[in-house]
Amino acid sequence: MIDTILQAFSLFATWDNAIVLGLGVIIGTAMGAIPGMTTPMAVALTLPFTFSMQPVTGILLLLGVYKGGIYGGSITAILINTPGTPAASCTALDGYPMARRGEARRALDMALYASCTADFISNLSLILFAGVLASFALKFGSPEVFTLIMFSLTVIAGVSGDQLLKGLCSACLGLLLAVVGLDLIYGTNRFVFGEVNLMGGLTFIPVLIGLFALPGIIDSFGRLELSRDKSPLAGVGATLADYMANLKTIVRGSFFGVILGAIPGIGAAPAAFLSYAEAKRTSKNPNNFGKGELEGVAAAESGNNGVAGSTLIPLLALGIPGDITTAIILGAFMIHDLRPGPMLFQENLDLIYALFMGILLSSAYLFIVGKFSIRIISKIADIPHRLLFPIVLVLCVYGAYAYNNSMFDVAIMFIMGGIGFAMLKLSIPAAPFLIAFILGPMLEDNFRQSLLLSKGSFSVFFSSPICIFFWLLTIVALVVIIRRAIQGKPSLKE
Amino acid sequence: MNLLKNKDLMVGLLLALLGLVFLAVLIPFGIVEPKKVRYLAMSPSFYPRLVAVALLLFGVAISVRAYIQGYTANETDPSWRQDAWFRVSLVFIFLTAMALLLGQLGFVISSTIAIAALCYLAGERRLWLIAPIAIIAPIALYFFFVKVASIPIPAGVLKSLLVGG
Repeated sequence: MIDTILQAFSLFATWDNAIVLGLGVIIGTAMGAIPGMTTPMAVALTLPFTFSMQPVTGILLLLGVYKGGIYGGSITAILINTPGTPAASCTALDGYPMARRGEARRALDMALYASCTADFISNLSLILFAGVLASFALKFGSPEVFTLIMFSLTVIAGVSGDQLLKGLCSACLGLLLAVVGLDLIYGTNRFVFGEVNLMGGLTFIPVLIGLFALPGIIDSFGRLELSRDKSPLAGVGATLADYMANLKTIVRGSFFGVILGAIPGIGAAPAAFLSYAEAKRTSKNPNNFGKGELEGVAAAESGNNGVAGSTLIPLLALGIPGDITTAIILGAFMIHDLRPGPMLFQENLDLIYALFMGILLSSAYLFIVGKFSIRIISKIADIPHRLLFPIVLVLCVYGAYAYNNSMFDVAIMFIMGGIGFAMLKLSIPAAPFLIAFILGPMLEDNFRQSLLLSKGSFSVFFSSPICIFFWLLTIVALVVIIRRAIQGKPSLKE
Repeated sequence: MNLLKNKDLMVGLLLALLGLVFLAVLIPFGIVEPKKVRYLAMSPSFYPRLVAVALLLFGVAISVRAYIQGYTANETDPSWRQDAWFRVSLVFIFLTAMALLLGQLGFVISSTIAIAALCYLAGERRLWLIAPIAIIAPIALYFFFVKVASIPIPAGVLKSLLVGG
């Protein structure tokens, strides 16, 4: 064992690895911060550079990009309400209102601290519990994932504020829009109406940008140029006291991320939303969520980054890529004649340990890169809106186009911007729409796959302890939501 | 008359109507059913129907609640300008024009025009500031996406200048 660790250390402790890992985090953070550039795109773009590298060096570069990308998505979400990734849209819910109040630096700092802590916990979980979590994750079939997503959807109540019914309508619209495209089981068209571009469904990046970034910017053109609220916290970062006050939320969110990240096919967005919902449920200030609550940023980012290490669990332990990014990383393993799975632990344990060392170091890099970049990036929030917003609009156009190289996506973004603006004016919350749009396909696919497995019997959704556990959680959440809705006095004044 | 001014009542009716449109038009005509479906719940239209019914019911619930609570005058937003709708309409016109011009003129020229027009509309009058921003930002974005991210952004009329040849 000691020999293996020493061998692993000699594999890891090279200047190449140290430099490449840091470079990866920088590239990932920069790419993740650009709307339209997703983490899988950043990892895929970096992949060719790893061909000539040593296996450990190449894989560490990709892991650095991956971790940086997950964090980077939160930067533009906070500063300009344009999330770089779907999971970061949860961060925008409180991060952007904080930035508008002049507390961009504080929100960015908290996002960084929550991200690094969650990333570290996730990495430790990967190293210590890979076997246990992999076997637990394998128990998640379609019915279990369906009940998990059902529970995740209760977050809609949390982001609807005092507009629960409108939030539910908004979620319904998101679920309906997510249906567009070819039916996965029968291969028939749904809401395609002869448009070839719609056959693959609506891409989430243009929808996300259109719904989140555009309405606020368009709305600002109808407003008087307001002097920015001068917050006493302007330019002040998050303090140790802020961090300690939110540590419980961060640790809880990290574990949501760790568990959901270990389940193939779930991804960071449900983890972020679940963590956010739970933070709101247990918060002393639930009504401040969505209006610029620091705890909301901490919860979203910890859930989001908690998946970063644990998504590697099914990849390394079982050879199963949990999402697109890990599928690309699997490709990097295979390019170097390595096949992740149980055999890798037997034949190349030193390489696995070397990767673990690098992964732990990546959390430190994330902190350094984040801390350094925040000083510069937070200045963006000080640019006058009359100059910033036109540039952001153009950035949105580039971002929407870049995802698929498609003008159709640009059109979708503009249409969603119009819909989002109408929703804003009618006081219909947009966040439930987006959550439903992201989780909807997972919900329906697993619903139908479960029924296919059970030959049409609905009993499949109650067939395992995990399903029953999530049903119970969903019922408890619904009871709490309904009680709050009855106790609260809804007002027509919005 | 008061009912028309009750914003939530109208929003609820609009959403319920949308649910009805899905149920009566979009789902029957927009979803192709396979010839044989083994179980009702497996049908491609089962889940959208379920969601559309929920939309209809929630929309009705919003209207009923708004009707019971009665009309409440909408407070006017103090920061909303008198010519706000005109300005917002102009933004939509600029964006539509930009979307149409992207293919013809390319991203750089269209973005330059859009940034300049939107900065002016937003209240910036210093041309010495608008001009460099409107020119440099699209070019910087273009080269980032093309050279760093390897994403082919349409150069349009500037193709010979930006791409060469």
